[in-house]
Amino acid sequence: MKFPLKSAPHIQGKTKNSNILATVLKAALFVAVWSIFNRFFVFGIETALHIVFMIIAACAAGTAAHVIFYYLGTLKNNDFNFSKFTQKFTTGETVVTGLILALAMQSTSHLYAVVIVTLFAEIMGKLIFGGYGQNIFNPIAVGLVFNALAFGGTTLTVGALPDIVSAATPLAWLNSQNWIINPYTANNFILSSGGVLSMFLGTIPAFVGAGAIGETSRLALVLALCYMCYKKAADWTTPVIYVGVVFIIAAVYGFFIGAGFWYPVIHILTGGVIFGAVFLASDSVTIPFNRQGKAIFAILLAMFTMLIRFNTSHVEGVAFSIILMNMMVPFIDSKTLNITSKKIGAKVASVAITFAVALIFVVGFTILFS
Amino acid sequence: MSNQVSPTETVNVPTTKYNYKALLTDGILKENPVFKYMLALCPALAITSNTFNSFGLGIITLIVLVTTNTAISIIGRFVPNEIRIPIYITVIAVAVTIMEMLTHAFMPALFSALGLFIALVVSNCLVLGRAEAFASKNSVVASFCDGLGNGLGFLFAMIVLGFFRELLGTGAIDFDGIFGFRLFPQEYAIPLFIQPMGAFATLGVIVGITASVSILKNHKKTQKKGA
Repeated sequence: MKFPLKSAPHIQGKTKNSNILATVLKAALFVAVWSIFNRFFVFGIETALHIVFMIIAACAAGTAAHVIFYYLGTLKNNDFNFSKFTQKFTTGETVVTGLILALAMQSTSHLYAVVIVTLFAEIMGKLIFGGYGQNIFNPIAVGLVFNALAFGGTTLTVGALPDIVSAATPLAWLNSQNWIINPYTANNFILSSGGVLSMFLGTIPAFVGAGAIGETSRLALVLALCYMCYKKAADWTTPVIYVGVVFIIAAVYGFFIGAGFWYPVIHILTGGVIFGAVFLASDSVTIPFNRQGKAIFAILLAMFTMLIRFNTSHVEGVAFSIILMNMMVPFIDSKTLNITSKKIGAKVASVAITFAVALIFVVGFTILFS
Repeated sequence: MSNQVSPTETVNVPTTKYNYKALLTDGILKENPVFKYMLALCPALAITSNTFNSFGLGIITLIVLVTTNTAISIIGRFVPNEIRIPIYITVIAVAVTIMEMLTHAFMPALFSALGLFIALVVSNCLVLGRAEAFASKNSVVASFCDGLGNGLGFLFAMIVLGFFRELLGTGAIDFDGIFGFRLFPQEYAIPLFIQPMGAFATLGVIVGITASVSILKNHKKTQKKGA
């Protein structure tokens, strides 16, 4: 008979940090390749090459930040170990943030902006807290907020790409209309951008043009999420509830302003809602532990996203709301972890109350102040 | 009987020997008021979007700190304990008002740029902190040296913060036309660093660097002792 001499856990699952990272990396690469081919067929080789360069620049900047921090960490005991050093790169820890961040940025971004934003995200969002797994805020959201505040207003874009449509993205257009559009304009708008199905597939120049790289095709993002959930690298709760609550809030608001079913669909299919749900809200480091906490997290996340969309001058609120909700994760955990599994009623009730509060808050606030 | 002096009023002249060099130099790096003790953060965050302004406020605070430290160390022994804070504040306010008028008269551009923040030096916790913690209990020369050391430390912190924020935020340094250079073009600058959030980020990073450097130094020292 075999006696285990090691201390406890004797049974271990196959899920490891490196497995999760590899899965997320594969999913992000899938979205990247899809977007690159999409742009290659719509615009040509030049635009596609620019995106490839953006991704390479972001990955290189992330790796450089990790190299610097690893070297600084070894200064204390002078224990620079080359095998440990190279082991860090095989897990994909150094490139995953940069890759997803590049996907979330505008396709006309300057390479300089990509490098600075990635360095800021890696250092201020992740490495200062102690590396992957220790961070409070989602590094990708940190980078996106930095990008919006630092490079959002500047004209530091690539001017030499002739094929890119210079018109405003649908999201910017909707924001300029304060998200209140009458059915006639909406119909024109949807037709001009090729219909709801094209929005989902991302095959229309207006959508492929100046928008974020990874946000072109919602189909690719949904496939990536399915893959990550199948490999257990992500939990379906947060993304699905997040998108669902955004849909419901938009539907209720659309009902009040007299818009139809297309209104919430537009809300989901424009901007970074699905991208944020798939790659930012599913990150297991910066969201609550149990399913009830995840549900409350996702509902409040949707509330902040819609509040920022409706009531501020910012075009998009996904990254801001994720940073806001990351701050509340310890609080949510402290309130939800101690509820025992037998009290299902209490769990459902707390989630339902959060949902009602979020709905009333966004819709009431928006109708009151618009 | 009438001219009897109560024993509590005996004048207690400090007889400690001071390390004047340490008093002068410790404040600059080793015990920097902003980077180590987190004192006077309000002007360090609000004014430092520009090197020249932060330099101006640093000089004003330095002069106020030296004068008030000296004055309070002279009167410190005669001030009743119960009302010492109002008296210190009055002395500081006199020095600040003089500095404000001088700035208004001779450097109107700096005065309009700094605005309310010159008057707010009265409530700078560094000035009152040195008066309360050091000057009221120590000799005049030591208080002068302490005020000079801490003022230089504050000036150093202001210049460092202002330099990095202006350089990153505009790509160039313009020290009121006296000297200046451009490191990279304007369009590559990150205007975020001139805004309040840039102040917090820059200060946090510099405080982190100073803390980790001192930790590293202490670690090296203990390692040498152990070996």
